[in-house]
Amino acid sequence: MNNSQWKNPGDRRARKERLFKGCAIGLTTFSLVILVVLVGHVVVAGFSYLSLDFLTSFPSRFAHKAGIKSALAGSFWLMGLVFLISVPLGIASAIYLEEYNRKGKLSRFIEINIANLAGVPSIVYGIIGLAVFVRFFHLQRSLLAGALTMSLLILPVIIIAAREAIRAVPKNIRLGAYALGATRWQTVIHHVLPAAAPGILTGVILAMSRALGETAPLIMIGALTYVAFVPAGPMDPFTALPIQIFNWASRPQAEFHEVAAAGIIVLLIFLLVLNSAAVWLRHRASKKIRW
Amino acid sequence: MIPKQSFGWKKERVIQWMLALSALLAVATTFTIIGVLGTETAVFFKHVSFWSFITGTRWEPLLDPKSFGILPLLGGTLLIVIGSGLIAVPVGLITAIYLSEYASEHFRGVVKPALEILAGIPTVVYGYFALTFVTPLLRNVLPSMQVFNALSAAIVVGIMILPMVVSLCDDALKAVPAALRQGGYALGATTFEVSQGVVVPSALSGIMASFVLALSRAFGETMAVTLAAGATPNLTWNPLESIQTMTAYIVQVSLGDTPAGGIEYQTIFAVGAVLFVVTLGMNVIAHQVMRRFREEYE
Amino acid sequence: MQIKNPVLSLSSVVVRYDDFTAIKPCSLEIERHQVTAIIGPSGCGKSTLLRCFNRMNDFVDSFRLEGEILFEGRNIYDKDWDVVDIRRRIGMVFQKSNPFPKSIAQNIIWGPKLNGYQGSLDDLVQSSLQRAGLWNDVKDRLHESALTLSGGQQQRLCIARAIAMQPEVILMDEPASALDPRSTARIEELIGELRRDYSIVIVTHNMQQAARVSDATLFLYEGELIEYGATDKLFTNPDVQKTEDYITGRFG
Repeated sequence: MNNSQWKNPGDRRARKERLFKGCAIGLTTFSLVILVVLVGHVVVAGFSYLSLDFLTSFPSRFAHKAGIKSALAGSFWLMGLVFLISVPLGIASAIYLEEYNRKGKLSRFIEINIANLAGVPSIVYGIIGLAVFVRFFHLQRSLLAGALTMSLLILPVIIIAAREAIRAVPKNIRLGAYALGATRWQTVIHHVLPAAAPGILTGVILAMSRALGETAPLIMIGALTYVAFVPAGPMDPFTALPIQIFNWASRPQAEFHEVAAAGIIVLLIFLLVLNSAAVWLRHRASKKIRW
Repeated sequence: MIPKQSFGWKKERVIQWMLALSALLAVATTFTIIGVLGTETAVFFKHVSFWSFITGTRWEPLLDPKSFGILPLLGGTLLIVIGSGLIAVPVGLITAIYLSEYASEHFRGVVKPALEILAGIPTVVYGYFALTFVTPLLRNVLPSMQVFNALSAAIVVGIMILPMVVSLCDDALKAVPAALRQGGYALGATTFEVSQGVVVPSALSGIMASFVLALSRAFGETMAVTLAAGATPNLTWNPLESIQTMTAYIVQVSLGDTPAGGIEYQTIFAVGAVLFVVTLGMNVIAHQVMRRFREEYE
Repeated sequence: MQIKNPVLSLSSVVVRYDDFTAIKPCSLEIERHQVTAIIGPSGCGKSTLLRCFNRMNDFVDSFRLEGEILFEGRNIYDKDWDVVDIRRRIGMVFQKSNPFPKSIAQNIIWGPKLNGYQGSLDDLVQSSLQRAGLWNDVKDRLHESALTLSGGQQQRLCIARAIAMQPEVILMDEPASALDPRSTARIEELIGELRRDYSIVIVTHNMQQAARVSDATLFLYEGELIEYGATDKLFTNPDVQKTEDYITGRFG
């Protein structure tokens, strides 16, 4: 071979390789660093306001007296209602799309809708909630209006997760059930759903954690920023944790920023618990069942 | 003996219909969004000409005389989208390349959960972070920067959409068959050369779709920009100034008790419609591109 | 069989993946400018052995190699020898054709460009495609995507791509197994022509193919080198019973 025709710029190539690798490691670590800085900043700012009193007091115009009692109660109410509304609807939709009308034209159309709905900004859901639930159905600024709005927002998330979980159930299980003379619904309810349950639940938890942190739609439907009572029913006005945080963070006084940070700590702890539960479930499911 | 038709076909039918109705709720939601935004926006355009809405350079719905030019809000939003893209696109793509072409399983196992956590942090928290950490930090370096400014908001929105860029790009890179990489290595290419010359070009449409999806998220982002970018509809390219995005305007109106029926109330639907149309357009395009990309490698 | 001018020589090579021994102690030499076939049943370590020659096994984390593989008198697994240089000089064609989603011409010149080829790239494209017997088919559409070619043409493009690097050795991992009989015949013909200038090592599970194209044949069974000799001899009068059993189709 004529080796004089090759002048391999080996050093330059190796340098380029090293340079890129170095930059890439740096940038990849960037996200880790940001996470640490963000959480660290919040904890440092809010830690001193964190106390039992903070959890059991109503908001106040004095920073050191302010608490998140009504916000916590509102968020719990909201989560409960959203769960009751969105989970049955989400699972039912997923079952229909996966088990009843898998390849149908209608499914395809619904599928496109769901994919696109997942990309609609949350504030648009808020606008719809305002126009439809608050004004048109006269639900006013109630927990129910908030929960319905939030349910619309997280339904695509639940449906997509539930579909994936249902799709992962092997076909043999269905065929086995059909062979024993089970109807479609019996097959679904006795075999497919139990097998898909861990996956569905993981998706539900992640959707709920999304709902817990969403702020914009609740502001749109007019969740109040100052609520000094605990809602007693779904038709009561309410505030929620992220709304309360937003309210404190948007005040000019620095003390209230620290109160906001304390609220964020509480919110992040709840999210952490939810996400850990999801991770644990996913892990357990992947270990327990081996198809 | 098994009783005949113990579980009646009628009941099966009813169940099927109920399930179908639930599934159709997604379609109903889409049509409700389009219907509500469409009719309310139509009312808005009875008072304001479409032309002055999309070409006007002043957004002063509360002043007298009122002025409804959406360009300042659109400009503010674009400033955030571009700024966040400048961060999330390069950082996200390079992170994805590193994770898919270089990193060990162990390293992936550390970075991926961290990204998932970042993705799960509520946007209001990012807003707080921008306002109380990023802005003071930057003001040390850039004293001319205003307390509310586009730059800080764009930075945190960039961080916010970063996990999405990484995970979608990672999926796209992973979809490139291993045989292509091996072909590259067998020709004596380095990992960087294979990534840049073979893997990324092969995954290009999927990568582009990821960018579009992430940027549409930035376009509709609300809380971070409401808290950090300000409430000044300001047609400017200077990221150190206070601006207002479309989303932040909608929040501002709904925070101040606007009575239904007034023109101010109508503006949120008109602005919301623009928001919806743009993000929907971006999503439809991205999904289309992504589907074709996946088909290519099946 | 006498090796006069070895291009690759293995001494006491052992390959392990974690606890699994994929190649048992193996010492042999491969003749220059010949076609050497590696045959054996699936999972016997044919591909593993082939991929040792250009260090494509480096991507497998659990891969461990003992012993030496000398190429031009130097150990391929020498820490100081840049793997990039080795792969430039020892090319590879894969089982499934894997043209890059670029134009036909781009497929040819991508590797040489990276490795600092100084000559005319246009000439290189033409000569490589001519040698691979593809020039007449594609000369008018060099700038179209390589993915528009048929399966057999794609594989010949991959061979042309390997030739363009002006390697000394070309490794082929079942290069015709995914092709129809006509394309297979053309690839085999091509291998026959290439042996004048290149040393070729080809893995195949098709014994007729090994008999047709190769000068020497190496029979591997469960990671063990059973027999190695001139193809004519090995297929007509093998020394080892197991070889005879395999080539007569009693197992594998």
